[in-house]
Amino acid sequence: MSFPGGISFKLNHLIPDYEQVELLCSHINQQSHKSILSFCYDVVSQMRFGDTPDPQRQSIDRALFLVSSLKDKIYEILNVGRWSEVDENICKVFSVVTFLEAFFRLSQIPQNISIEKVLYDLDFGLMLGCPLSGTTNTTLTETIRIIEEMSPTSSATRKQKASVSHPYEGAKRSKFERESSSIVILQRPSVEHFHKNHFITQNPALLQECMDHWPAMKNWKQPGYLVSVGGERTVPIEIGSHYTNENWSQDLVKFKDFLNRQISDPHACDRIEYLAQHNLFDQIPALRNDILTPEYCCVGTSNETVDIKAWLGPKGTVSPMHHDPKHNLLCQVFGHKKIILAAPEDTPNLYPHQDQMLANTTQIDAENIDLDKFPLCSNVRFYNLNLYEGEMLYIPPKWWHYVRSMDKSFSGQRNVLSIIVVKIAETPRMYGFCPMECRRDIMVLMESVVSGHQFTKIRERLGDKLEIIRFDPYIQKMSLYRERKKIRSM
Amino acid sequence: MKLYFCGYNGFKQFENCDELMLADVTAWTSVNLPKPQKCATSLKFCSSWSVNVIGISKSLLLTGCLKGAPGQSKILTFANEIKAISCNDLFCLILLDDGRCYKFLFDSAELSELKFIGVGEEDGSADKKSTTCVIEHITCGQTFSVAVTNTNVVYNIPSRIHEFPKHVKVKKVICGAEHALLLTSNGDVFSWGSSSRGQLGLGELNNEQAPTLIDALAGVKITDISAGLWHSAAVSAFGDLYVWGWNLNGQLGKPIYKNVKVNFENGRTDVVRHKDVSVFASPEVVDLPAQSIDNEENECLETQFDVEQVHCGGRHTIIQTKCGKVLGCGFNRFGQLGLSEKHNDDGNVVRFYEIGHSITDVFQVKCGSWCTIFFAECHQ
Repeated sequence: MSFPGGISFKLNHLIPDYEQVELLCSHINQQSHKSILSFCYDVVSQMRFGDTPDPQRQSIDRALFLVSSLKDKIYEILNVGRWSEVDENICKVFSVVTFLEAFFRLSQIPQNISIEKVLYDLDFGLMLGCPLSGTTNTTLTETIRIIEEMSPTSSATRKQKASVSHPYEGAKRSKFERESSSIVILQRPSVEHFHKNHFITQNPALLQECMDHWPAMKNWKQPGYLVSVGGERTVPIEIGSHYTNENWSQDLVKFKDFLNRQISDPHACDRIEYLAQHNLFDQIPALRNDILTPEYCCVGTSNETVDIKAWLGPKGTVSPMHHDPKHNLLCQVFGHKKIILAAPEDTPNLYPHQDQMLANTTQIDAENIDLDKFPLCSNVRFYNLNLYEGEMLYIPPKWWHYVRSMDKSFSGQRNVLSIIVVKIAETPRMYGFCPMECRRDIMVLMESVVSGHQFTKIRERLGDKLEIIRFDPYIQKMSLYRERKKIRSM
Repeated sequence: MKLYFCGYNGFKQFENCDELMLADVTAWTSVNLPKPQKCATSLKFCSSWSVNVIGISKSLLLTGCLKGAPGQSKILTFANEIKAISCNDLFCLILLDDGRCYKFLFDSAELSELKFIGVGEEDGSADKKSTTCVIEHITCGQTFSVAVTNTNVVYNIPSRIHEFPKHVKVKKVICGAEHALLLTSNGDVFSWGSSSRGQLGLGELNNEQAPTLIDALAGVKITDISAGLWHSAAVSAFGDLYVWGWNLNGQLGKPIYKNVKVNFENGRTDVVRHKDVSVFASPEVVDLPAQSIDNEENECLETQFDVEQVHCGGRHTIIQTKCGKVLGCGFNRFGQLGLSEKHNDDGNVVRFYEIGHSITDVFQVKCGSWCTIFFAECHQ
């Protein structure tokens, strides 16, 4: 991919102020970083005021080389110590060098530019970097927007893709289907009613007809739409499979490859990829315009921020029964989910893990309860319900919930997209869109390759899979253990 | 004596060399050292990404980014022979033969003597000749520095963390970014620090506060160890190479990606490339290439390479074999291994290849953080 030069001029206004960068450097206190950044800014000002670009070619190349090496160095610093304890200033410098690298790369001879590589690096910067100010990394998201606008290839795919195929069939609630459980179903309740009867009293509710006006309800069902808006972007996914012999893992993939494999193709494949708990809308603001913050979110106290995350994947993905400290509003854009709820009062009967860190997760399989092992579960009142497209489910804090995405074979619909709108009443987000999740720990299941003996292990969620050798009690010998699947985030 | 190097030169730490080494990573560049030296063992080398430090006898040569300016050089002369040097991004530690320890800060170019409780003043009674406690080993990582005394006391400077029994002889101590490895003369390897990427080799990802024996290597006599930022390596008396830790850039000589076949219902298949396991929390033996392909008459041809020494850079690994070959793998974006594009996958070399075979009369190989160094005799 290549396109005519001159794009770096369009990015001029996004270059962070040198004073700001200098201040950051003084926080990190490493002169070598500062010397590279000050060289880069010298080259930037030469480019701004120079008449002919050609004599600077060498200094641009050198600036690109140096800033790339600084990015590699900062990547090393980011990986020392725990993710959650990384200095915010280092993350900010990572954003700055990511931007500068893209800027200098785009200043090269057009034939040498790989837009694909530039976009990948910018997305990577979004994932690990931290906005210079505020909560959105506008320097990087704007850069991506401008590049995509300028790039002839991506607009070509946009046109071409938009003309093919027909919209997905929706998995709608049939007229006769009623929920047997006693979760209240409301059609467009007033905010006041919701506040008084559900939010305050912490009563779950299924809300209908509340998101019919979202552009997403129409747009996202057009198969080419998501690809044309964000296809070239890189997103983190979780990989699971029907086949037990394949391991669970995480990876970064092109959004379009993910969509083509998991969503657009009507033929199911044997590898399940799941875009889970991802702040897709901070990464791709164009998609954010398709969803509207539900009015019901304004009932919280004013200093709470609304956190919006996307879950996108094929049928069969499961979240084990757990509870969250926040108010959740699960909004189903397309597809259909089976949900099992239980009230906080039943917590003693739900066998939460003993481990303090896992106390918000039960040991039971909510769809297939082993009453011999967990007899107290017979006392629990479970609420079974289905969530169809266009419906929202309000899950109050501490309410237990189990979620499984369902297949609707009659419509050929095999993909599910839902958005959770979460109100965060805790610490404000400091990092970019992903690190909140990247920096959390996850619990994984390790399995002996010889005997199948299993145990669980907690590790940082870095996308780095684990392999260890340890004593296997089944065979009474040392054995290799491989990571089999993720159990849950911590 | 000549010094051949390849790798990162963004701060002109190697004088008179093209700083855009990326353009031509295959070329090994040679530099004449200021003073010709006969005694090879007196040569010490370490480097951060921005500064090179070479110790020759009593003097220390620093080149690169000092006081925030690239292309600087400085020579420090000490009262005694330099016994060991070690550096991280911020400073260099220098240990002299008499047990004195110095710290040189790159950003301020300040040299200060490093003193910490217990060392040199163990016996307050001034009866120093009986059991004076002298530092014998020193090494620093990004988050902590380690010193070991002749009385077998281990310090995470400045705190005393462990004391080995009298019969133990510490042979080598080395730090990664946030972990440390210690080798005793009877071949045991101990590790402590962070194991976030399995770099302690204890099968766990937990931190260890004090030196812990690596069980998986117990019973194997280890003769050499080394540590990169998040990876570790050991060589056994039988010439086997063991590695563990993070294979981010192929520094364990293992592939980073694997191809996975995705089968669709209708029979279509896609091949998807995705990241393979990258954290190895237990030592594993490396299968080295049986022979070098382009050199047929070499005597290693029949058997596997026997490894003699291992050196880890920040994210690359170099081994020296008993028959004098040097092989390397890992991060090569700045030409750290001096290997050409054809061995590379986006700057990573994921299996051991022979490197620097054009260089003759090599007597020492060293790894810097982002470079590799060969010291060779100069015939003139």
